[in-house]
Amino acid sequence: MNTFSALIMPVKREFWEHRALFLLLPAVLTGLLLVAMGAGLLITISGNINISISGDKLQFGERESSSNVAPTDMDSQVRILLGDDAEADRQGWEPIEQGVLGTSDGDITRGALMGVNLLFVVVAILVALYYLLGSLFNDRKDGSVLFWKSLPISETQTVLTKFVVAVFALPLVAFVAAIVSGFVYLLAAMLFVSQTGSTSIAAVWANASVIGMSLQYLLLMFVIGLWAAPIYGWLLLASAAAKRSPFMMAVIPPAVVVMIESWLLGSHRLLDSLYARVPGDVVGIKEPGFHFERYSEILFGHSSSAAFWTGLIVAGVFLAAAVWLRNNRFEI
Amino acid sequence: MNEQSSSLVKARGLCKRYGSKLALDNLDIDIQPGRIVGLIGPNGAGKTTALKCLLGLAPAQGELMVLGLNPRQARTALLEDVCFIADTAILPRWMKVSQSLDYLEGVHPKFDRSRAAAFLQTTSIRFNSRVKDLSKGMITQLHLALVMAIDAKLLILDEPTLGLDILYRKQFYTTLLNNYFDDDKTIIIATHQVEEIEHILTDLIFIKDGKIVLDTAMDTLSNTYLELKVRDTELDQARALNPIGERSLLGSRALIYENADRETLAKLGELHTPGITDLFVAKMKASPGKTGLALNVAEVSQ
Repeated sequence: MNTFSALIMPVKREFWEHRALFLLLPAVLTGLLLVAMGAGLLITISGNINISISGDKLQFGERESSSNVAPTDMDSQVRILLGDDAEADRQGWEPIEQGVLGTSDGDITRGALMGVNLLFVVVAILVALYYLLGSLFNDRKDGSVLFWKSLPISETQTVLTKFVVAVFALPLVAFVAAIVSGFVYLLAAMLFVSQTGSTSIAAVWANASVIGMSLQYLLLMFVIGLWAAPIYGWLLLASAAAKRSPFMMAVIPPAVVVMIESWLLGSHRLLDSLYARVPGDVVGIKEPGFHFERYSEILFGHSSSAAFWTGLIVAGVFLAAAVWLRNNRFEI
Repeated sequence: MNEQSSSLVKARGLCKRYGSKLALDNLDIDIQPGRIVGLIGPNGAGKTTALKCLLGLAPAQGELMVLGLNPRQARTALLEDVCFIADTAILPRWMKVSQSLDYLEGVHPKFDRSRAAAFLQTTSIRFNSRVKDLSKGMITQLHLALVMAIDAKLLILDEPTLGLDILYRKQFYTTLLNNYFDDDKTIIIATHQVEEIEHILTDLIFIKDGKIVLDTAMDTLSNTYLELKVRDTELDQARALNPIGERSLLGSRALIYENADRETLAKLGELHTPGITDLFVAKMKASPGKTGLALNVAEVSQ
């Protein structure tokens, strides 16, 4: 044993305990996604339905063959679909979902990769919320808390481990899953191109920066997690305090305060500040693309960095309260 | 030898209150290294509460040092030298046997993986099994294997064999004695099943309604307590000598005395050192209290 393993092993433990949620779910999603993308690619190229993944939803569109001069040969279609704008211009083919992706028109490879990344971001956030809510409750409920407490790991470390897993480890899993999905998708696309005798494999490759994009989304997830830290901290506190239902414990007190506030003062400041912390909302998860300036503005900019640091302090208070409960009121 | 400084566990005036109920009432405890101490009392007597205080799991009033540390303030450091099994079947159900070894190896500086593995080899527990697929007895075996592989100074067991069948119960204590216990180790066992641990104890503490009613070493027990078997003809005489307990045997009665004159008693009948079970019943009766005694006596005499 050394200090490093004493820090890492509790994190490993979370992955053992939540293997299905942390590892199997992303793996299954990756598989499903690849099947869907493969099918989508085939349908798009061979049929009359145009499918692209945009934002967090699939876009279906009838191809308007009358107004657009659809390219006739397979090869140029594929090239257009994979983001070869020059080919699209040459064919005079107007992309159908113009502007939806907010990037270069008809950039389906990029769009698909973004969609994949976003999907994993959303899943990572939902998993984190669910995980945090149960993380300091389940061991108390099943009695194993006394086993964990029989080992020389402090409650401070236990609580911080859960927080770190939610804010940093789960995004890393999403990151890996998105990269794997991205590469397999690219591989399939290039295989397809090569089968159709195209010479634009290099163009496909050049158009997609799988790792680069996923890295951006990884950073995005870290920002989301840190910005939403008060909510994550509150969930941990509710989990540590709950005697029956951590969910009720997490939801009812804020709901009551919100109602009392609107009833007595007619204001809704708590609701506003809660809404501002909803994971993903602040960084504009619904808006496509990656906005480094915006994230750095959130973290360090003049307008919001005070709010950011206040959030971290509030989160710290919640975490400290959770540690105190773990040390003093852990019995159900 | 200075007893005070060598005490592994030292409590003075330990009190613990739950609401209006006094769970621990002014406990003084000294436990020396190399002992096996039985902490014995009926359900609800305060055994578990006392152990929780020793482990720093619950705050208490009064003075308390375990291995020279304050358990509340130095819990994490203390747990490198103190192990405990709180109850059967508290190992996390999702955990694999191999994971439990990995985990302890990772977080516990005094865990010897090969020891635990060697012990598990002697059982029918497989390394890739999950705790939830093991029987209750096997879970206890696994927990024991983990704990015995930790080179701790103090092992605390709270009703460790509760709910186990008789084979596992016997085996549990045999293993503990043969594979674990030595002069550097101390074991505290809290239980209400006295007969099970009677033969392995070096020290005995009876606790009732949060108070200690008996605290003695086993080898000095016979100096203080005597059991006299008398026929009915001498019964009145024997009863006049203030026995603390009495029970009927086949055709005779057995009376237990505390600090009685051996010579006087010897004239009335056969003298023995009382069994712990009988002594326990006598002591619990001798100090009447709130605890539902009828129930506990029935349990003890089973």
